[in-house]
Amino acid sequence: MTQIRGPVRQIDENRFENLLTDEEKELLGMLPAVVVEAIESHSPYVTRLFPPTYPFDDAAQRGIEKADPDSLADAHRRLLEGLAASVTKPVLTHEDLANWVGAINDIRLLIGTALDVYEEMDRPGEDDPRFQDFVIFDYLTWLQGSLLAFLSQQVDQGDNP
Amino acid sequence: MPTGTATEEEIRTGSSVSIDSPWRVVLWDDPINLISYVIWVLETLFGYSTTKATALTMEVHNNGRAIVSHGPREKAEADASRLHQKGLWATLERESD
Repeated sequence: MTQIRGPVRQIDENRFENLLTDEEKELLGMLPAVVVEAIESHSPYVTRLFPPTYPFDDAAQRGIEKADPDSLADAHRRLLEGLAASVTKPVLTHEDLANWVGAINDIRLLIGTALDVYEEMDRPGEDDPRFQDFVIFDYLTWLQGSLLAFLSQQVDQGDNP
Repeated sequence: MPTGTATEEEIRTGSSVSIDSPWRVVLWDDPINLISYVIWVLETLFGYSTTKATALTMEVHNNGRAIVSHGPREKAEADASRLHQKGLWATLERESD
């Protein structure tokens, strides 16, 4: 019988052993910089990271952007840099996992936008130039879902109203 | 559309809508965010129970949108900003809309 490897193994209430392979760590250490670069160069693929609060009121939208122009970009940058900085840690905290889940979501939004992903979309064949990007996107989907399973257990154990 | 003298807030934002009106935070469906991620964000940001967060997320998934928060404009803007920081697509609308 084969046991499917997860990305982490829970040690105790707030410690998780990092089970990522060296190849996964290398990928997750590199991808955040790609997204940060896309943010700083105003790539069209980062639009989903910056949704308008007032899509039908240009004046109100300008007002909210003017009030704090860099806060959203800084928030995304912090998440992404947090992933890159912690991906090689042998033992992770709940806070690390929560940060990873947010950063992975940002990466998925960038790649998913570039690939024009939609629900129940068929994956291209290996001869398609987008094949490798879909492999990475699907890996990140698996990784995010796996980490969320750990985080959701912690939420379930809480006393939410 | 309101008429008459613009309030200080309307002048500051250039908006034609009043700060005193109650506002709704609308969360929109998208094909990339995982359902489990949206549930987790609603639980952790707003302290919603798993049951409530799941119901709202499925409403977004099935109907394309759901109202996930409401209140004065400043609070609604802050809630939308927190959702944006998590990569979710949230907008504001007046409750009278």
